[in-house]
Order: sequence, then C-alpha cells, then structure tokens
Amino acid sequence: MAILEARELVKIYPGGVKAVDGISLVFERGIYSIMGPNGSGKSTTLSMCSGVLKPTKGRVYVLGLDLWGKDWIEARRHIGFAPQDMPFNPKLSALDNLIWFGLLRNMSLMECRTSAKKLLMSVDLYESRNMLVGKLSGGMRRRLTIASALIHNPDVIILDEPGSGLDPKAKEDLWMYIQELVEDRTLIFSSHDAREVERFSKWTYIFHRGRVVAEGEPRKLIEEYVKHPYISVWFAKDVIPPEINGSRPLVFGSIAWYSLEDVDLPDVISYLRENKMPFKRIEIIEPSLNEVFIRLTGERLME
Amino acid sequence: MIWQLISESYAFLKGFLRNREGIFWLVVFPIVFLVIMVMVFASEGGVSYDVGIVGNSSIISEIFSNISYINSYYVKSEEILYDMVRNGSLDAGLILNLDEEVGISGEVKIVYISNLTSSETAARMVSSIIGALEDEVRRQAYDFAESYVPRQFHGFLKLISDPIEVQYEGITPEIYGTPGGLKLFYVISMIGVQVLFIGMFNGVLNILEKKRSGVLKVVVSSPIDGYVILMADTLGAIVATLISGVAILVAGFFIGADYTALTLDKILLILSLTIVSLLFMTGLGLILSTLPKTYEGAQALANMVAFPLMFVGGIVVPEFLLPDYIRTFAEFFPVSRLISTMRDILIFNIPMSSVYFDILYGLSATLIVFIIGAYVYRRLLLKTIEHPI
Repeated sequence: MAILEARELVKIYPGGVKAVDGISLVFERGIYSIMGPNGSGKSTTLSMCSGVLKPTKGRVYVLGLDLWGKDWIEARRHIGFAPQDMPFNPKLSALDNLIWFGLLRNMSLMECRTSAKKLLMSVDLYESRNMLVGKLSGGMRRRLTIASALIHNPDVIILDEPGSGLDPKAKEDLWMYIQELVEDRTLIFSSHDAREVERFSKWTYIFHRGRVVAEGEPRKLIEEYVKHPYISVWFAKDVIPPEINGSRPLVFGSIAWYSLEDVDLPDVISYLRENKMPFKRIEIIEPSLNEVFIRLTGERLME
Repeated sequence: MIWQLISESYAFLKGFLRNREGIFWLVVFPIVFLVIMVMVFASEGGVSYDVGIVGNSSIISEIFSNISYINSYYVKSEEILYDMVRNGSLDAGLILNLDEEVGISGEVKIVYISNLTSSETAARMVSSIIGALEDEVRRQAYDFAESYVPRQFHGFLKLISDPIEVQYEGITPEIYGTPGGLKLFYVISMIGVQVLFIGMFNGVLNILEKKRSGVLKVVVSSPIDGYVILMADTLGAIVATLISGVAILVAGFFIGADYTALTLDKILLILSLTIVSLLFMTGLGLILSTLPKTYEGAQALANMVAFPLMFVGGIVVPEFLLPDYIRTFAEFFPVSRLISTMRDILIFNIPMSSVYFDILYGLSATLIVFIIGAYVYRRLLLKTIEHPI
C-alpha cells in the first residue's frame, strides 16, 4: 500500500481555469519532488494532497484512508503540511506557534511543549523560541515552517517550495535540517529549482500545465532525455538557428542546442563568425532536469 | 477534541499582552468610554436649570436658594428676561408681581420656550414650586382664619383654601436613584457594548481573518471539524469578553458604581447572561459573514451593525428614553432583553422568578441564531476549501 496516493486529480477553479488535469501520483517512503514552473499546478496538487483544497474530481488516499471521504479527520492526522507562505500567528512567539499547531491536532499541552522544544532544538531555533515570529529572519521562519509540519509526528510531510526566497547558503542549511528530520517518513516537496530536485529527491514528477509529463529518478530522466552535453547558443532576435556541420539543433525560441556528439565548440563559433550571425551567449550545458524539462515541453523551467 | 477547543483561547491569552491593539479595544477603550458616559450622564451634581427672575420677593428668593437643581438669577427687566430665554441663556423666566404685606399674593408669569424639552421642564418645575407655595399660603391663611371663623364654617373654609390635600411619596429603587446606581447602569451598558462588538466581529470576520493571516490553510489541513473550529473560536471570544468584562467591573468599582447588591450567585448569573449574549451576536455575525467578500468589507459591516445597536438596542441609552417604535425593537432584540435582565437583577433588585421568561427568551433566540450561524459558517468553510476566496 502506498503511503500517499493521488488518483486522477482534477481541479477546475471558478472561471473554468483547469489547474490540474487528471494527475495520478504514488508516494512511498523517501523524498519525492514535484517539479515544474510557476502555474504548472504544483501548489494546487500539494494543497489537494494535504487537505487544504478540495479536488474537483479524483481521490487522495493516505495510508489507505480517503482524505476527502469519511476518514478525512483520521487521514489528516498523518499529514504535516508546510505552505509556501509560512503562515503563523504574528502575535505569538516561535514556541507558542508550534504549541498552537499541536493543539489544533489535539495534542495535549504537555505533549505540544515537549515536541515543540525538541523540534526547535533540531532546527537550531531553541535560543529564539520566545521571539515573535515577525522578528525572525526568512531562513529562520522557513525552519520554523518545517518544524510546524512535524509537530505531531506525521507519516507524510508536504512542503510547498521550501527553498523559495532563500539564498543558496540558507537553502543548503535548510536542506540539511530537512534531511535530518525526515528520517524514514515520506517527504513530498515542490520546486522549480532543477538542482534542488536532482540533489534531494529520489523520485520526481515533472509537471507542465496541470499534467505530469514525466516521472522517475532524476538521474535516469536526465540519461533518458538529455543523453549528453549540448552547446547552447542564444541567438539574437529574428535569427533562425542554422544547421552547423550537419548538426540540426534543438530550437527553443531563440535558443538552439547543438549536440556535442555531432559538433564541437570551435566549429560552432567559427561558423557563426564566418556567417556573421549575431548571438548573445554561447555555453556548454551539462545535462540536468532543466534540460529534461525543455526537451519535454519546449519551455524553460524558470530558476 | 478538548485540546483543539482550547487552541484559540491559548493563542489569544498568549498573544494578548503583546497585542497592543487588543489591549486597547478590550481594556482601555471600554474603560475610557465608561468614564465618559458616567461623567456626562451620571455625575453627582445632576441636572440643573437656570431661571431668571424679574421683580422682588424675599419668600421666592429664599425658596429658590434652597433648591439645588435650580440656579436663580435676578434680571433687571422683562425685556432682558425675554431675550435671555429666547437665546438660551436661561431655561425659563419668572416675572413676579407680588404683594408680601399680608402673606403673599399677586401675579406670577412663567416664561419658557415652547417645544423645547429642557425649557418646558424648567417651566414645569418652577410652576410646581409656585404651586406648592400657593398651597402653603392657603394653609397658613386657613390656620389664621380658623380661630376667627365659627366651627361650623371650618369645612367651607377648608373647601376654599385647600379642598384636596395632595401628598407625594416618591418610591425609587434604593440603588437607581443614587449616582452609584446610575454608574452601575453604565457599567452594565459597557459590558453590553463589548458583547455587541466582540460577538459581531468574531462572527463576521472569522474566516476572512484566518485567510488574511494565512492560517486558514493550517486550520483546514488539521484533523479538526469545522464545528470544532467554530467552538474553539467562540471560546476564544468568550475569554476575550470575560477579560474585558472584568476590566470594566474593576473600573466601575473605582468610579463609584454601587456593587452592594452584587452577590456571588448574581455574578455567576451575569457572567452566564454575558456569554449567552455573546453567542447570540456571534451567531448573527456568522449569518452575516456570507455577505462581505473582503476583510475591509467585513469590518465595515460589523461596525455598521454593532454601532447602531448600542443605541437602538437600549444598551447605552436607557430604554425609557427611546421613541416608541425603537423601544419595540429593543423589547424584542434578545441581547437588549438580556442586558435589561442584568440591570433588573443588579440595580432594581428584581427577584429571579420575575426574569425567568426574559432569560428563557434570550436563551431560545440565541440557540436558534447560533445553530443557523454555525451551519452557515461550516458551509462557508467548505466553500473556501473548494474555491479559495
């Protein structure tokens, strides 16, 4: 039995906007990711999987319990959700906010205090436990958000864009805490950062316009869709990327990729100069999920 | 479920002392408002009237100088007197044309502005004083003449001088007629005001407040039923009201409200009635919460409903001062009935058996309104989960 399973999820907002169109996802123990650009349906999917947003169609099961059926209260006990906007009661301290979260989940006051203090120590916020949430830095608030999702020791942790808004160092530190805290639970996070997904998730679902366009282990997806490095040329506007030495490029708007298997960098540069073709940038790109996304959708994954 | 129920009360109490806005509206504002109301409507000095007098009379001077609620001033001429009454410098005027050689007799004219309540009241007071003087003069004349008139004619003499002797005996409740009683009246008024606003705001802004602060997602993703969330929020509002109520009661003690009738059972009853009133206003607010789409709109709606109710509900303004058609509303509005019941018990010492019906009326209305409000709230919450506002 999967820890969390989403079947044929559809979400249509008022006005007919279809944010999610028939998505099915399965999560076991480990770290999973949902990757896609803004507006691809990631947050909507996570909201439906955490009990925040009701699907128009489809079902979500947590340890076999229907999250939107008669077992909805029991199902929610197994989920810890940390939204992207880090909602806290601004009039409470870090510690009191965690206690309040725990009380909402029917934990006793003593259990809440014990669990909250332990979590604050785990995320290095114990010294700041009595600070008002409004006075915490972005990184500290993000750590507190992670802790809030864990206060009741859930089986599934859902994080919506955990690294959003953090500088690379802060993001790195945050993931250090996340990996320590996850232990043997199921962690599902969303991200539009390909590197973050590649580094930390064992399985990823790639979203595009409300649908899953690919899923699998990040490394295997890269090997399947972007087998080798490419030379990426950013042409000027209105320039049609040419074939160079018989190598037909993959074209994405004004960006062209030439396979390093077919042509090398000096060849490309000399061709472009000889033919006086203006370009803004030329670089060798190592295969990543970013390129997988471009191959699959023809669009860039914004970073 | 018990811990979920206390979650909002915990959050409120923990955040209360840090929340300057909350401290202001729950503690500072009601105390300031209470003090102002007491200063304006229940000051020790009471209401007095300014009366101008033209003409000399030692008897009239002595009478008026002993009456605390009339300030008498001698005016040089009738013309000046008329001008002063017309322009409002005086509430009424008295023109004397009296002969005090034998007793006191002659003509008296009372001048006042017709259709102006204060002036008419002053005129009536002066008239009753003159009337009382007349009665006293007649009695003295009778006493004097009694010894000269044959006994068989005493009855006729009495018929001429004092045919009907009227005695007045004013009965007022011990407390109400005193400044302390009036102040207690306004202490209860202030508790009523807090109930109106806390209940209405808690009801109308409940979901929108959670959405604005972003905690709605946390709440709906928790294993907690919508009704339990509502009960937790209501319990938090009860705690807030009780804190405010205690602050008002303490302030009332310092400003001189008369608490002699306050026994433990009456305190518990007052607390219970306060909670019931709060539940009614919360229920009403929940029903109205379907209307506004924005937080600002909800705030405006809550103020628009609660503010007029302070007056038309007889909460701040005594019911007997309200026009008939508004008094009818106050008689039916459950919160007004409950606040009146509190006053009946504490100020007028009405026995409990006389207020059972009012309490039952208030309880029944609250039950109906709160249940409807809770149903509306849950529907709105489910709608928010389906289509975020």
